[in-house]
Amino acid sequence: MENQTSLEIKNISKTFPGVKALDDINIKAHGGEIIGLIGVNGAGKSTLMNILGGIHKPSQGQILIDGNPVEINSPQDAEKYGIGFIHQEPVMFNYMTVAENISLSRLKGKVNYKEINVIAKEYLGKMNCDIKPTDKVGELPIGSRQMVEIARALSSGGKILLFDEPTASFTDKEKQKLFEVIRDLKKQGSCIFFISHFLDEVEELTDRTIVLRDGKVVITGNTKDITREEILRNMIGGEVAQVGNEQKRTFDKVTMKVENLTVGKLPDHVSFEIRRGEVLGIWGLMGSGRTETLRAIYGIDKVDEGAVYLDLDDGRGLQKISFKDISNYCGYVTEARHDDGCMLPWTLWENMAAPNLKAYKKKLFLDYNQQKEDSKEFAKKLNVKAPSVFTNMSALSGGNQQKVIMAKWLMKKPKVFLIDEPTRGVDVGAKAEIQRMIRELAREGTSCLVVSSEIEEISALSDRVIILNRGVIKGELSREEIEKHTLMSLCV
Amino acid sequence: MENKKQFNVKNFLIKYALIILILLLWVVYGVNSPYFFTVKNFKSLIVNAAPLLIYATGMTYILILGEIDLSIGSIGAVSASLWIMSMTEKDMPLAAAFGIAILTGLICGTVNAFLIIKLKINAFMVTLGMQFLLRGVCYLVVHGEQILTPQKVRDFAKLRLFTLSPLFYIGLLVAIIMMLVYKFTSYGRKVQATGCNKEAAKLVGVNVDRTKFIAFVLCGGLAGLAGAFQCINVGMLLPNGLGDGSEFLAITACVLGGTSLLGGVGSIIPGTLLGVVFYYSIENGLGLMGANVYVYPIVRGIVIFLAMVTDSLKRSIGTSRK
Repeated sequence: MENQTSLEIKNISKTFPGVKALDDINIKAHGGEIIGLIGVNGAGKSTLMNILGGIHKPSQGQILIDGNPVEINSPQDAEKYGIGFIHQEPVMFNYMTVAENISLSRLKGKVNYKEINVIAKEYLGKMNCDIKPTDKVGELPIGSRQMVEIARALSSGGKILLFDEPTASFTDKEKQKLFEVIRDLKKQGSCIFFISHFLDEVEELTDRTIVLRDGKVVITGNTKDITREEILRNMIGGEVAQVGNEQKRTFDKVTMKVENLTVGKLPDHVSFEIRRGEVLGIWGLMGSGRTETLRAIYGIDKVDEGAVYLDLDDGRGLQKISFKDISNYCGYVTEARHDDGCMLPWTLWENMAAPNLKAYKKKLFLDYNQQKEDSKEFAKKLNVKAPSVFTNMSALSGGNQQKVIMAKWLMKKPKVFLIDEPTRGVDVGAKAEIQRMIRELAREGTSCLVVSSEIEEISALSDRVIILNRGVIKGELSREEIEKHTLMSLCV
Repeated sequence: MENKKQFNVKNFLIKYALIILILLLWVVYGVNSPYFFTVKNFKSLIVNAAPLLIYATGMTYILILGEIDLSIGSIGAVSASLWIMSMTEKDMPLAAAFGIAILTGLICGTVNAFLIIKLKINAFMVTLGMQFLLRGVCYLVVHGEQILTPQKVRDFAKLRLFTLSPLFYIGLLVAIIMMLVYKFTSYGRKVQATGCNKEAAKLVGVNVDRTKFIAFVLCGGLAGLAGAFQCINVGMLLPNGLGDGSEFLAITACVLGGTSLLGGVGSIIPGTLLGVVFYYSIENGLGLMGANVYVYPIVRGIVIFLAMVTDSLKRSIGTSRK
């Protein structure tokens, strides 16, 4: 035990202008241990990890490694003390090779490609990854990129490894592989911090669970001794709102019909109908063409074959709509909020009014007051927690940003609402709220087409689920038939 | 199977578009002018191309970093004017004069770097400002007059190694060295990493600011040398004309050679080198065919569009593969 790495976080506090992000945190950890760190967004997990990773400096307190106080002022310092940080979104250089990505921070003087290729191979081999060191990272699937990032942390002598929601975009298989690797690293004596939104992952993987709320440690204990209820209660400091299991509902009118939609291989001749007020779930693994289907319907990607019909409630029934017009009648919440979901530097009202400027036209100019009024109304309706609609989007937590994004489409009163990963990277409280909102929308008559990689979410939300596998519809389940086992068996 | 093959042909065409274009161009010129495919003509082509190659080599670094430098032409002009004055006024030896040219370029580059990195001003505006400012300095140094290059410079330009001018060798050497630095040193790798993903580079401990600082200084130093070379090729120092527009030609050559304006991708050899050869082939051929002088700028414009089309085609392939 004496030789093992140990990490002690002592009275760490961190204050950002106006916010106390961390308040007197004390954590002790040692090698051969996996610690699950959970908390809602804004609880301080990421801040704590960023302090260990040398990205932020603590306002107060001390970090001790192997009993010696250390000062971590930069990512290089963190690396020097054996702290490896595996980021949520792989931090990668797409045009460079795997080997270059792994060794970059240690390159000095002349680059010996032979040597860095050997290093890459060695560490990837430790994880049973058969990624070629000379491949360009941009051409790898996202799961493999994460492996490259772990290899980078290991190769720089990482003994304390910080995993910040590493599984966010993983398939189940990739996840299991990652867990195997993490357990292996634990056996080799690494001290591992694992941040996740998924309680079952924390339960499955970790030895100890620490729950953070409002910058404080609220409970800590052996994972097997803490119940899920206890964790949830402590995370949000109240009772968990669940999506109610509803009665089976009946629908009459078809709002949208998709026929033989084909974009290259994904999706491949996909046809389905969605009725008024129905939530239709699309279930499939990564690479099944879920997102691609939504993009094609919304007219973003060029469609090779197929058509979309909409009922515009003008008494003419289903009409064929050209792909460039579909965005007039639909809303689309994208999968990657920060990339293409919103304008982070804009205020909430600017974001919310953006898709619907035509409606605010007053002769030559735009009616800003109306935009602001409407935004206020919808922000309130969707329970967005923000000081005002004049706040910048970037100042909000993930959950609230997601609500604003939903609100901006709802202001447009879409016939069909396409929602890709409604609750990705959103904390538990907001998650339940967003899910409830989607159900409510459907009850009010909006048809929703939902994609989610969480099996619980898709089963809780959908009235009907279609299952995609490699771009092809493999099956369809009605609400009472939805079951984890069937869903999984149809998509693999 | 057939489909796949077709796809490859398209990829191949776009990947080697520039080489194919150069060869096509040569064939067209060769058919139209008996002088094009002569040793003498090719010699003059590569000597003329040497200054632009040096400018563009520095520019490649800047573009890969996702930055831009519009001041290199003016840096070249100031450096060349001090270079020529040091010989005509102070009677310095040629080598020392070259030292002064490069030093001047390095200093100008350092000023750029300081303003861009330390004061965090946008590179486009800083270097545009420097373009005007340094042009003025150049007029001041030579009192607005044209100066003929001194005899020792003309002697130097007449030197021959394997019948080729030293300008050609030095230009190529600079490009090769800078290519090796880019490909095989940690500094070069950091340049690419910074251009690929600045935030990620910071996280893995690359000193992004330092990497950029060095690149601007280097680019300035190379521009100083290139300015002196331009002056040698012209035979005199023209304070209003020397290096005027060279920054845009350099950017065009880089982009033609596959360097992305968005940063992260690019190469000096073969990329930028081919871009420079392409540009000079066009100019050279037009001259041989006795084209109207007023046609030149039109052709230059078309070349820039071509550069942008290849850039966008390459990018569209990249995304369709995803």
